Amino acid sequence: MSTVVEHWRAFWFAPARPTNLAIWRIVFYGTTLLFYGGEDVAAWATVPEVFWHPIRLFGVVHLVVLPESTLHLLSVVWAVALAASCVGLFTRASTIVAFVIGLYLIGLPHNFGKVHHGDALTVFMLGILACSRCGDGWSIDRLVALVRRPTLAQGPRSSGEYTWPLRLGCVLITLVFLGAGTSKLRQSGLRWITSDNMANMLVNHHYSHHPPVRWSLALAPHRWLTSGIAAMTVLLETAAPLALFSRWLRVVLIPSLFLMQVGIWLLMGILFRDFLVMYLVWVPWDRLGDWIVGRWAGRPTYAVLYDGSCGLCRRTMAVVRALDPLRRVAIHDVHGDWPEVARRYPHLSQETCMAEMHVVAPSGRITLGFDGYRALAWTLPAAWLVLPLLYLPGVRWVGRRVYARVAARRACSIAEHRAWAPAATPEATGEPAARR
Amino acid sequence: MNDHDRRTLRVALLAAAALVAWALFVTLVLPVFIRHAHQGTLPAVFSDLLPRRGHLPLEHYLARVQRTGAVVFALAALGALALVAATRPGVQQFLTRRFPAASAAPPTGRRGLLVTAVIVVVVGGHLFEIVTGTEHWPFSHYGMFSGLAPRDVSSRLSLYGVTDSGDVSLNVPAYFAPLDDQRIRGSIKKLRRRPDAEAAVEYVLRDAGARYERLRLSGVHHGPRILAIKLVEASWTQHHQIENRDQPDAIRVLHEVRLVEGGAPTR
Repeated sequence: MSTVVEHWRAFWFAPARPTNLAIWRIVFYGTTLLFYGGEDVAAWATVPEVFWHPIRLFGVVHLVVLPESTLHLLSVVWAVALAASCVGLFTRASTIVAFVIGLYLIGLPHNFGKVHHGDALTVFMLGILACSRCGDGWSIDRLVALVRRPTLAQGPRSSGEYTWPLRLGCVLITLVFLGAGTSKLRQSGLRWITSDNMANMLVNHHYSHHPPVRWSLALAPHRWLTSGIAAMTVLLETAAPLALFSRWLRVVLIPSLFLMQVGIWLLMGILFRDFLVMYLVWVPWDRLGDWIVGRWAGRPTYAVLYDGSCGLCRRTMAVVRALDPLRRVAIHDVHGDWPEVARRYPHLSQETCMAEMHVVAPSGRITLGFDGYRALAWTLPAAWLVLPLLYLPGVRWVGRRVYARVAARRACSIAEHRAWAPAATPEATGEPAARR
Repeated sequence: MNDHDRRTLRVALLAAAALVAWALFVTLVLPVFIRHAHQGTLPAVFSDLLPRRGHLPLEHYLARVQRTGAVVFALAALGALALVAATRPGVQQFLTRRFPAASAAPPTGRRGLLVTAVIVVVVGGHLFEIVTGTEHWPFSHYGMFSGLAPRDVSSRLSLYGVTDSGDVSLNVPAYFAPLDDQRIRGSIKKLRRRPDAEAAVEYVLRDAGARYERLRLSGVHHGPRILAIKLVEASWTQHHQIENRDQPDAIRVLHEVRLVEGGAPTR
C-alpha cells in the first residue's frame, strides 16, 4: 500500500521548475481572454425567462441571471482578472476572481436550452490554476518580489507545487477522451465501428453544420475507410490515459488526438476551440527553453557593468536577470568585482562605471544610462513589447533626464551608505588605486 | 512459489472475489431494489433515486443499471489487472524508473489537503460521470455522438422565416444572439413537455422572431426581413452530395407566429 502511495505522490508531485506552469499560465489566460473577452454576456439578461432551464449547479446554488448592467460589470472585472492572471499581477487574487466569475459567466449560457461541453475544461483549468502557485515564475509578482528582495534572483526552487496542476490538466484531457470512447462502446457497442454509422455521421453533419471543406462527402461512400476512421477514433480515445505513463505512447497518442479533433472540425464542422489550446499543457516548455538556450550558447553576449554597492542597481539587475531567459546578458558588479571587470575591459575606469550603468554590446560598442537600457531591450524578449516605445520621438530626451535624476539621488544614498559602511569603501575592497 | 508470486496470487484472488461480488450484486440484488423503488414500496428517499418514475417503465431503469454495472465491472476489472500487475517486480521497477518516489515533494498541512481535495474532486467527478453515464456540468461523460447515426435525417425541429419571397432557414447563430438555433430548439423540446406547451412555444417563437428583427435592424446580421416565424419538423433523405441540403423532403409546420412590429416579449 505504501508503494502505491509513493507512486501516487511521485506522479503528482515530482519536483519541477516553475517554468512550465508559468508559461501555461500565460498561454491559458491569454487565450481565454482572447476567446471570451469580446463576448457580450450582458445580452443573456435580455433573454426571456421561458428559456431558462437551470443546470444542476445553478439550480442547487440558486444562481440566477443578473441584471444587464451587473453582467456587463462582471464581464469587465473578469477580463481584467484574466489579463492580470496572464501577466501574473496579484496572481493569487486575480486567478481566484477569474475562476469564480468565469464559473458563472461560462456556465450561464448552458442554462438556456443546451449544454455544451467544449468549455468545461476551461472552467476546470481556471479552478486548478486558482489553487496553484502559477505566479511564482514569469510574472510581474515575481519581478516585484525581485525588486524588494534582489537575493531571490536565483529563482524559486524546484517543487511538486509546479507539477500537479499540469499533471491534472493532462489527466483531465485523457479522462475526456476515455469518457467519449467508453460512451460510444457502452451505447452502441462495436456497431459504432462496424455499421455505416461514421459514413452517415459525416454526411448528416453537412445538413446541420457548415464544415469548412467537403472532404467528408468524398470519404463517406468508402465504407472500409469510414469504419477505419471510426475504429481509430475509439482506439485513440480509450487508449488516451496510457499517454500519462509512457513517453513513447504520449508522442503518438497526443498529436494523433489533436489531429483527430482538427479532423472533426474539417469533416463535421465542429470546432473544439478551447480544447485545442489545452493540448499545450503537454508541452515541456522548460526542455524547449533549455534547447533554445543551448542553441544560443556560445553566441556573443551583452555585458552590463553596474554599481553593486547601490541597492536600486542591484534590484534592477535582479529584474534584468529574470527577464533574460536566453542568458544573453552577463552582469558584472564594478564595485565588488572590479579586478575582473578591469581585466576584461581595461579601457574603462571604475569611476565612470560607478557613475552610470555601462552596456557593452557584442560589437564592443558601449552605451550608458538610458541608452544602455535601450540597447538591452533588444536582447531581452520580454522587453521587445516596449522596444518601439523607446524609439518614439522625445522618449530618449525624457529617459536621459529621468535616468540622470535617479542616478543623482542614488549617488546621495551611496554617499550616505559609504559614510557608515566602511566595508563598502574602495580601500576596504582592496581595489587597485590606479583604476579609481 | 516465492514472496512476489504469493503476493500476486493474494491480490488476484481478492480482486476476483470483489468482481464476483459486484456481479452478483448487480444481477441479483439491485433489480429487486429497483423493482420495489419503482413500485413505491420503499421509503420515498429511495424512490426519488429514479427520476421521472411515473413516466418511464421499470425496464428503462433495469437496463440503465445493467449498463452502468457492466461499465463499472469492466473498469474495475482493468483496475484489478493493473493492481495485480503492480505486484510484479518488473512493473514496480518500471514505475520506479518513470516516477522516482524518493524525489517527490508533495505539499503538506492544509495546503496538502487542499491540493489533494482538488485532484480527488476533479478526477473522481469525471470517473463518476463516466461510470454512471450522467451529466453534471462542468463534469460530463462526453456522450455526444455515441449513438448510431441514422441514414436519413428525420424529424428535426427547425426554424424558418417567412419572407416576401418565400421561406428561409434560420440556422445561423447570429440571427438570435446570444441564443442560437440549437438553444431555441432545445428550449422548445423541453417546453413541449409542459402542460401549457402551446402558449410557451408561441411565446418562444415570438421572442425569437422579434430578436431576429431587432438584430437585423441594428446591423448585427444581414438576413432578410421576415414577416413570420415557423417551427417545423423537417426530414431529409440522405444524398451523398447533399444537393437537397436546403430543401427538406418533408416539412410539417408545428407552429407559425406572425410578427408584429415592436411586439417583442420582455423578460
